[in-house]
Amino acid sequence: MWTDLMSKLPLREHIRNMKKIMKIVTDMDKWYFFFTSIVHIVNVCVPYIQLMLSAYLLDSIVEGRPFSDILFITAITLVGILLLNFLASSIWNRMEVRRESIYHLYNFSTEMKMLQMDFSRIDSPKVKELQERMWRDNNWGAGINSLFWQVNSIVYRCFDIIGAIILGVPVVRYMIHSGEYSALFVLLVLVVIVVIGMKAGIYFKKKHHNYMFWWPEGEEKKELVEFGWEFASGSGFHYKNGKDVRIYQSYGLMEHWTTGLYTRKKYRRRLIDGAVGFAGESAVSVMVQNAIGGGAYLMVTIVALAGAVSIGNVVRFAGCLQKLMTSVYGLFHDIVEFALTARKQISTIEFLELSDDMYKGKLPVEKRSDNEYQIEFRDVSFRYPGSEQYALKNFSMKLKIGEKLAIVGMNGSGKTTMIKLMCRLYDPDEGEILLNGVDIRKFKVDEYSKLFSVVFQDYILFPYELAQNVAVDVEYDSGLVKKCLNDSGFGERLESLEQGERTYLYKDFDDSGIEISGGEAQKIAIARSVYKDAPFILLDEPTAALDPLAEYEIYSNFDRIVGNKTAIYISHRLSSCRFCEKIAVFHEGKLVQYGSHDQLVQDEAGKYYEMWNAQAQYYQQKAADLQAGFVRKKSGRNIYVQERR
Amino acid sequence: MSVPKHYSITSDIIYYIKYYKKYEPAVLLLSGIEIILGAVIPLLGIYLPKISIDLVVQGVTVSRAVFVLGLFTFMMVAVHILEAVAASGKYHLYNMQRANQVGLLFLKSLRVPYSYVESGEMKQLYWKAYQSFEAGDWSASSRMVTGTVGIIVNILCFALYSTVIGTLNIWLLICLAMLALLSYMINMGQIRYEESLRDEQAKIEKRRQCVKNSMGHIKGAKDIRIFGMSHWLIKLRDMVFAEQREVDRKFFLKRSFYEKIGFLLSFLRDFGAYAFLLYQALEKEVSASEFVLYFGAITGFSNFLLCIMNSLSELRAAANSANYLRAYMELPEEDLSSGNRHTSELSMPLEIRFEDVSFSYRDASEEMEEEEKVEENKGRCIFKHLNLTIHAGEKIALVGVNGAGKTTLVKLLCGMYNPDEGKILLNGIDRNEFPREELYQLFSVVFQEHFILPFTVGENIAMAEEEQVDKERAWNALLKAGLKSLFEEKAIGLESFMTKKLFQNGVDLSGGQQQRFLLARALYKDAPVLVLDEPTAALDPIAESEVYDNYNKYSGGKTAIFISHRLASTRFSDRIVLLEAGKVIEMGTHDELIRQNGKYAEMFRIQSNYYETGTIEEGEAECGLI
Repeated sequence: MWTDLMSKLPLREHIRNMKKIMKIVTDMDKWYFFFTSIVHIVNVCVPYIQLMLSAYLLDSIVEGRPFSDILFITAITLVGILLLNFLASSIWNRMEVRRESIYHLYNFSTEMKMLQMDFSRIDSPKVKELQERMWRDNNWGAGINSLFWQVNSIVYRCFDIIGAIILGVPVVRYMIHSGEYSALFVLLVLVVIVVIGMKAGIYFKKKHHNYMFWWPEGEEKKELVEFGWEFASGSGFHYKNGKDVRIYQSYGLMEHWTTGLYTRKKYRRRLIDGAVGFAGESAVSVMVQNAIGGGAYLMVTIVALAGAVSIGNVVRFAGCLQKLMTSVYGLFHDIVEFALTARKQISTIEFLELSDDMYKGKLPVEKRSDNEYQIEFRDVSFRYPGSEQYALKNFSMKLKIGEKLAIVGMNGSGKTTMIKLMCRLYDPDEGEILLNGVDIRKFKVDEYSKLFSVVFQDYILFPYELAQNVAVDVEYDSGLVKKCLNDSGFGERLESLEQGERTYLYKDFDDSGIEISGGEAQKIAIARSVYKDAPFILLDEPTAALDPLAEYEIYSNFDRIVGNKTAIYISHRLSSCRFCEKIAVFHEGKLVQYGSHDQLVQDEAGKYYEMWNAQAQYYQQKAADLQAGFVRKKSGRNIYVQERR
Repeated sequence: MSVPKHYSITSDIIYYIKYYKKYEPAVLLLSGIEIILGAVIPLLGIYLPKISIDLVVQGVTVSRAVFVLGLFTFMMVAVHILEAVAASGKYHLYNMQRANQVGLLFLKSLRVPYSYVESGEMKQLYWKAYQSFEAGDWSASSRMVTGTVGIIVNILCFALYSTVIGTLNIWLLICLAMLALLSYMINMGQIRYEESLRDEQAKIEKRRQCVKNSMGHIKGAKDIRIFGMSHWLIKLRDMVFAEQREVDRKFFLKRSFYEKIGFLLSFLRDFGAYAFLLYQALEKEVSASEFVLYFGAITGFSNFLLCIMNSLSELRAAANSANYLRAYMELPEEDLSSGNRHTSELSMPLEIRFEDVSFSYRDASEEMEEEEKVEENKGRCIFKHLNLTIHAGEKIALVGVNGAGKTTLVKLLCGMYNPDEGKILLNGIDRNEFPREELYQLFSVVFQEHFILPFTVGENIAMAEEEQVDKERAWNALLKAGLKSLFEEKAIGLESFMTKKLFQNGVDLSGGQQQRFLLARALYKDAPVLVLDEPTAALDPIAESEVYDNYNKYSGGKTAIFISHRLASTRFSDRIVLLEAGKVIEMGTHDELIRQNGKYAEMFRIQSNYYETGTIEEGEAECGLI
């Protein structure tokens, strides 16, 4: 199957692509190609000077000029070449530093885009598809570095052709004057070889690229996909899964889906095709070059035999002819490569040009020292992009100031969705969300999000300094950071750290980083949300792996830290939220019950009762025994304290 | 971590020759062709002008010139084509072996004893071996080939050129060799300098990659937006860029410096060569055509020495990264087949006895799943003289807080680790008497980490290749696990693929369904011992309740162990074992333990408090939480 990348494209499109990518690169550094062009001019000059020198020396030998004269001219020429080389080297290496900078800047551009695009976009099928394409397009080759090589090469070859024409053109005159038309015939043969070379080169290049950029589709995937890289890298296979593989004795299955691919006939055939393609590409290229090399000498030799050219000029003209034709062929080759490079970057450019579709309001959010903010959901319905099912349906709710609200519900009942809508990570499909009576879409996004502190279920800490993680900035208020960490219960570990709050988390950025446990990570995440000091605080079940009691303690501790701010707690464990005055019960994207625990548990037909009962049933009848006969010990708590320290 | 064993470059070359002989012999053949032709090619290049000038000087006929040069050109073209085919034709063959080697490395990690997999040192070794492949074309599997070929070709060229120049003047050869030696030393300086920067470059590269990953972190995108982290990350990026520029500047300025020295040396060489050859030519010692030939030889000569050196440096770097791979690949594998008894002699259901078992992890990171207090746990004894008998057909609930050793107990039981002291007996026979592969057949275990592979449903259930899946049995297992009707409703068959990795319509299951799916896998295997480790952590109350009901239903006739820190699981167990700090501190039925009024009773009371029909305040007060 042909991939997108190798399908036919009109020349106009190719030119547009090349222009686009060149614009992006030159916008990053306007002067880079200007300076490298100087280098290319120098680099073109040097070999011609050497050719001229050789020619001069040969003629001098034949004519028997005095040794000292020749040596003097040789010395001067060589010094000239040396200086030119010095110049080129100085400029070129400085430009290499700039090239690296552009390269990195460009490579970061997709990530910069991801920082800025709408959240709803990030996970969308469109973006995923583009990312997949970007990944495939950049699977081979050196990415944007290829562009530098190719454009530099194109510039170089252009100068080279000019040089060859200026210095080599007299040979044509000699050729015609000499009357040796066989030389012209050789030239004709060479031109034919070059043209054939171009055609054949394209044929093999396609074959080669067809291998490199081919991707199995549909049913082929079953036979031609392997997971070796993925499993080996730890994504898709955790090393602990090794237990299952051993117990279930599934080595054969794992082999089938990894290295098994490489012995499959279908795969081998494709591989050989790719190898042949690449071999053919190189073979054609050297064939043309060497035919040109030999042919150039043959032509000039013929002319020289007719007495039109001196021996020295044989070397000179052969060199020029060789360079001329090689450069023409090379230029063609480079342009084709460049067009391909540009085309590979189209997916990236498309990604960078993605437009946001969320409405971006201009209204500033009123700063209120009394934190009198109120949020209201009015008949909100929402579906995740690409999903049929409503995550929230006709949802209405008011959040009162200073309220502690618990949201409970089963997995998938819309709890987290509601949080995401409230923080404007998504916009509702229908209905509206109001902040103090104003549609939240009308506010400036960055100001609006300052209102919320959220500890998400899948919160992320980044592998930088601990304090930076809390303050989410390079500069921070050290005292406040420490206070927040202490409040969240990280204080003890903090004191044990040599670098204190400047310790790196994890080892991804700095080898001195420390590993932290899930519980500690959570404390840091909580400290981060406290440091932000936002009027709304939301805790979205960041504790799935903990036992119920531990979760309860985290919640209530958190509640103590946040004081009298408006806070929302989400959990599927009813026990965790019992300190909240009000409980909202979500079910299938709707708010089904609302009230205090005592009210809700009375309603035996309600969802709350059902959930409560499911958890309670194990304890109920046995608990009766307990209450009847045994004294309660307060010390029971220690068991859990031990576990979470 | 340093490489555990040092391998010489020669042994690495031999290692890779053997490797390619086994997996892709064509690479060796093509390398041989490349070496032979690669040595001849430069000579052809310098002979071309010589022949041409000779023809002109001799004044031959045009047809003679066409014949000689035409033939020579044809030969040149043919040799070049063959060489190009040999050089480029093998590129994809060896490049693909990188992926194969990664796969082999991964498969190796499934063959070594499981304790290696969790050991920190081995994990690091594995990781280093894996990372050596991330360099793409620069991985050992490629560079060992190109480096070796490069070195041999250049040595041959060097020798050939030496003969050409040596025939002219032996002193010239010596002078040139000296000059080449000088440039060798200078270049060595450059290589050393660049190698000295490598650590710094790697550090910055790592940091750059890290910031890039953070910026593009999909899971972190919510946090990034809510907390306005983008300006923070951009600042970090700019800091890394500044570091990068600094080291690049150093690198390229030095490179420019060495380049200039190189130009200076070639200036001296060229001037010397011209002077010498001119003198010889004017004295009629050499002809004009020989002048061209020798000058070409002289300028090419020193180049080969540099190439030898570069190839050597390439080879050294390749060998370094290959060492990690070799070290891992040469680890001993788990012995699956030896044992002097067979499990077929065991009567079912099984009785399991831990007799005086002591165990501790060798190093800290083995124990990461115990999560908390990793540092302090290093070398800590998990079990000390543990004795525990699980009767044939009994259902045990293993309870205890995190870190009590529950998971470790399971790992010991099913043979992932061996006890340091003591024995684990199956029907009174030491389990180490049985071959491991038979031992593994005795256990159906659902571990804590959900393990669903992006393969077909059937393969996931049977954990075997598709041809080996017993379809009826698989459907039966799904039925028992309570998934059959759901699968039929959604038209999911055994050939459907799990997860959306391969196909858009792949099967994604919710947390509770995943649990049941894993149960189906355990039921398909139908082993005499069923072990379930913490199956309900991420489930909502109703799903949790369902899971318990299911597990209970299908453990009939088997010896079964349920692990949980939620006491609810004790509801359907014959006996409860309470583990604390690696010791069985209480054991008995629920009622017995309540009567003992020990730790279990306390734990139970605390958990059940929430569900007593009392007021909130009362409940909290009882727990001592306020």
